[in-house]
Amino acid sequence: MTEHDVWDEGSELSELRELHRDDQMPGGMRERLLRRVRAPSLLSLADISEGVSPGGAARPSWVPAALIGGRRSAGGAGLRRAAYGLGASALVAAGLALWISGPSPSLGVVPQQEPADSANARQLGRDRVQPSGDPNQAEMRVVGWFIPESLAHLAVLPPDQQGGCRYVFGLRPLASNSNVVLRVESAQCLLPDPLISPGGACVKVTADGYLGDDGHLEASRLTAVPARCPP
Amino acid sequence: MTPTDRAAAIAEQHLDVVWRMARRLGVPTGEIEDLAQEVLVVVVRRVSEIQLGKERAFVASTTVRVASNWRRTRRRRPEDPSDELDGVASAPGSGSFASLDAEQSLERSRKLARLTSALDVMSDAQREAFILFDLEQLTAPEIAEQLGLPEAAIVSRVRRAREVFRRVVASDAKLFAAVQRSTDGKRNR
Repeated sequence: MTEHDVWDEGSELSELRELHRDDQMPGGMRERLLRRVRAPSLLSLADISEGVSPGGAARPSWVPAALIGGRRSAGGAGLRRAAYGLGASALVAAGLALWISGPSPSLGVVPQQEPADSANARQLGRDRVQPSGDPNQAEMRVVGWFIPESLAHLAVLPPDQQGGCRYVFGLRPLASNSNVVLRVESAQCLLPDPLISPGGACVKVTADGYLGDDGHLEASRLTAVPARCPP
Repeated sequence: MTPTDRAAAIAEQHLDVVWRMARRLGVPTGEIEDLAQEVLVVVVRRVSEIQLGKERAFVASTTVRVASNWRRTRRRRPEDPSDELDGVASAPGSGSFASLDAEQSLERSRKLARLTSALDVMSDAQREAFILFDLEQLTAPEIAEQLGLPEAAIVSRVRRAREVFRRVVASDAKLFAAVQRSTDGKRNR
C-alpha cells in the first residue's frame, strides 16, 4: 500500500486532508522561529552549528550545547537532561586535568570600564535579604539591567565545583548612566530564558547571592524579565 | 549554500508542517513554538544528513519524534492551567483561518474537531502513521526509512488507523443524524 488514492476523491478524509494542509503557523511565531534560524546568535542553534554561546563567547567543545541555550520546554528539559549525561564524563576529565594543573583563571567577559568591587554591588543593591553582622557575608539582592552579549559559560570549573555549570554576565544599575558593571556569576545550570535569548529587549535581572572576595556577586537565585528599556 | 542557509530554507518551507502535525498530534498550541524550536535544532544539527528532496519527510518524522518525547514528559508533569487557553488560541482567527468568514470558520473547526476526535481514539503509533501517510501523504517507504521501521509495520498501522477513522466518522454521522432528528422534532411540535 503505497498509494494515497485508496480513498475515494471527495470522501471525508480527502476533505479533512485539505483542511489539515491549510492549517498554517501564525505569522508571529513563524517570524520568530525563522529569525532564530537565520541569525544563530539569537538561538541555541548557534551552539550546535558553530560552537558559539548566545553571548558570542567560544563554547568549549565538551560543553553540551543544550546547557547553554534554548527556550525552557518539556522537550528542552529532556534535551538538557540528556546533555548532562553526555557532558558528565567530559566534566570529570576536565576536573582531573584541573586538579593536576591547578586552577586556571576564569574567563572574564564583562566589560571592565571600572574595576568590579563591592561598591558596584552596593550601587545595584536594593536590600539585604538575610542581614548579618558582617556586611560582606550578608545575602544581597541586586537589581540591574542585563548587559547584552555579556553572558558566557566559564570554560573551566574548579574540581570541587558542584553541578558542573558556571555562567557569568554583567549587570548595570537600573537608574544610572554610570559605567558601573557588576559581575555576576551563577552555578545554576538552567538560566532564565530572557538571559539566553533577550531578543533585542532590555532585561531586568534580580539576583540574590553573596559577594565574592573579588567583588563579584555569587548568585544563588536569578530572575529575569524583559522590560521597557531605560530612556 | 552554507548549512545555515539550507537549514533556514528548510525551516521556511516546512514550518507549517511542524505546526499542523503538532496540532494533530495533540500538542497544545501554547507549546508548539517550543516544539518547533526543538525540531529546528535537529534540522540544524543534522542538515548535512538530510537528502535532497526528502526535507519534508525529515521534518515530519522529526516532529513525530519530538512530539512523542513531549507526550512522555507531559504525562509525568502536572496539568498546566494555561492549557485551558488552547481552545481560545487555536480558535479560528488565530492562524490561517483569519480571512474566512465566521460560518466557514465554524464549519472548518467542526470538521477538524471530527478529525481530532478520530485521532484521539487511535494509539500513538497509529496516529503517527495516519498523520504521516494520510494527511501529509508521505509514502510508506519514506515513513519507514525516516522512522527506522519496517514498511510492513507502517502499512499495518495505517490500515488499523483507517479502521478507527471510519468507525469514528460513522458514529459521528449517526450522532449528528440523531441530533438533527431531535431538533427537527422539536421544531415541528
